[in-house]
Amino acid sequence: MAITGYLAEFSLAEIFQFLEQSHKTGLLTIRGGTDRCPSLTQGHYIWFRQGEIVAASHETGGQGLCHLINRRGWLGYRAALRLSESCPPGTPLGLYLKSQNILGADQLKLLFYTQVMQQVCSLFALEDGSFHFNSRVTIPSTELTGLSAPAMEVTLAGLRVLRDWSALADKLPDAHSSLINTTRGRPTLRLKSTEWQIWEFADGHTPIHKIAHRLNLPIEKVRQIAFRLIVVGLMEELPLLGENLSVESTESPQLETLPSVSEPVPQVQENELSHSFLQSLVGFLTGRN
Amino acid sequence: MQIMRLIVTGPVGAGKSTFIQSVSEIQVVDTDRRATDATTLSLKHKTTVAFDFGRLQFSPKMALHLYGTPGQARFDFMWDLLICKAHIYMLLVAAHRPHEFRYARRMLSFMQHRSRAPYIVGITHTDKEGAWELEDLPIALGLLDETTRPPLVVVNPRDAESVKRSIVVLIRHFIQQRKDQKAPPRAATAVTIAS
Amino acid sequence: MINVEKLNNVLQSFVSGTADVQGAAVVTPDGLPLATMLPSGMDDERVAAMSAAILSLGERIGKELVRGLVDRIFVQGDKGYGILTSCGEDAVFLVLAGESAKQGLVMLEIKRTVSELMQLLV
Repeated sequence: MAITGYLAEFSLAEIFQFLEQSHKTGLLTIRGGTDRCPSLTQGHYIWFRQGEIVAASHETGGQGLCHLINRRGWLGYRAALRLSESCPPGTPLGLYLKSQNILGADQLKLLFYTQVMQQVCSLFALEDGSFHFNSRVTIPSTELTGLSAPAMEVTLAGLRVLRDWSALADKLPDAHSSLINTTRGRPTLRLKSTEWQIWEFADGHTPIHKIAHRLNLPIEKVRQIAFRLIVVGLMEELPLLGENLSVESTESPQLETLPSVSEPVPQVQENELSHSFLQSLVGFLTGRN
Repeated sequence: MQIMRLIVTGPVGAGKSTFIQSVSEIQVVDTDRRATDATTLSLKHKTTVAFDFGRLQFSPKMALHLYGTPGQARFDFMWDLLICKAHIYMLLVAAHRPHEFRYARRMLSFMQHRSRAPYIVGITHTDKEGAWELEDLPIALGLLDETTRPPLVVVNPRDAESVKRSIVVLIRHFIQQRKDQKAPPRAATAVTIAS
Repeated sequence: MINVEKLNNVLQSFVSGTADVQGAAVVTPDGLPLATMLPSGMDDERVAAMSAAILSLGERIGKELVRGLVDRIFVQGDKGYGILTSCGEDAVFLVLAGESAKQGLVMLEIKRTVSELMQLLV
């Protein structure tokens, strides 16, 4: 029993949505490449605390942050490493360096941006790879800046800059499906204007191809943006029925009898099922009569 | 004659036809066809194209009718025909095929908008390699709100007793929902192991 | 390997050569389109899936109600006909005709076309 699989089957965006929504703490390991060319597999490590991303690295030795500080030219690698050794256990290295007046708040932000946003966002472009989540690891404090970002916020940023969507082609919502808003009130995530426009159309009856037409956008583009909004928990795909079947669907008597999707079908008359019916059925199934 | 209609739905290969075959007292009316699409073929050789029908006649005037839907989205008109008549339904999801979770969510949102019938989620293939933990599955299926989440059961579609236990959970959920409709709503969620 | 191009040619000449026929399709028994020539706005995949569903129910009726092997399923509406004809083990032939279509003529053409299709499907 594990949270493990292949990116081609369960995409990074879906993993992030899952880890954030279930408030997981632990280490997500992504190995790029495929089984066929294992030499190309490189490990990517992303640490989560309560569903938020707190650190990312290409190595597990706990020295990734020191390398980044060195690369920025703020401290030599050895100096950073020495300081990290005197960092009290449990204190994020970033906060320790800040308390020692070695790094400022803005520098920490920049560091976190490079460490998490840049490294993780590039992973969305991976065509395939395996993933494994382990909740039984301690988060190395030497990799921590002390900052964190909700996983779905990283997804939103990562998918906004994704150019090649071929790996996600099967996951995109169908052009004939509609979208349905799953948030109460307005989303708290900061959306861009086209994302807002599509979110406004998540009414459970406008199919994606119509949204595209109304917004004068390519259908493919709308499907990609809709996927982005689905995996950050703002909406769900709702398949529509019969919409695409016939050009004269509005005249079709068969379709007229179907209630519109926004008004769910009234429940089947259940008063025909008596209490004794249900009791005997349960009795029968449990072998008590 | 009182008849209760139970619809079994879920992605291809979750075990819908097997579920009905395990528990039906009549030979199941199946509409299986040799599969030709790659997704289905990778899992099995035959696939349901209209519906499966099974029956449990437990008293001269009382019966449970079981209908299984096709899994593929191209048969969504069958999903609709069947779900609109359902008293209760069960979504079957294979625990070891995470790539189908999104599809299962899509099916579920379809069903929920076409029917207000009470439902539960049946988790199959929990013994397979790579099977996800039971506690992780509701979130992976988009059932975030613990207060409104339906019961989750582990079920082995090949085992008649396991199938029966899962149906009992579904019927009890149905009874509870009926009570709740008369009384003020109550927060109820439970993970029940039925296998 | 099925020659889809030839199937399409047969369908095309059937649809254009038979009065009041609006569309036709050859689909697999599990509901996937092999070749289609349908009115615009109709989705190949859905039409194929519906054909497979109705055929499987028809066959079931044929068996359980002792009507034997199903050769044809006929749906008659006030706006026209839908006719499904079995095309060997691996295919079904669907024809959509308008209400003014001459049934006998359409049936004759279907019979001729099915034998053509069968040769392409072996």
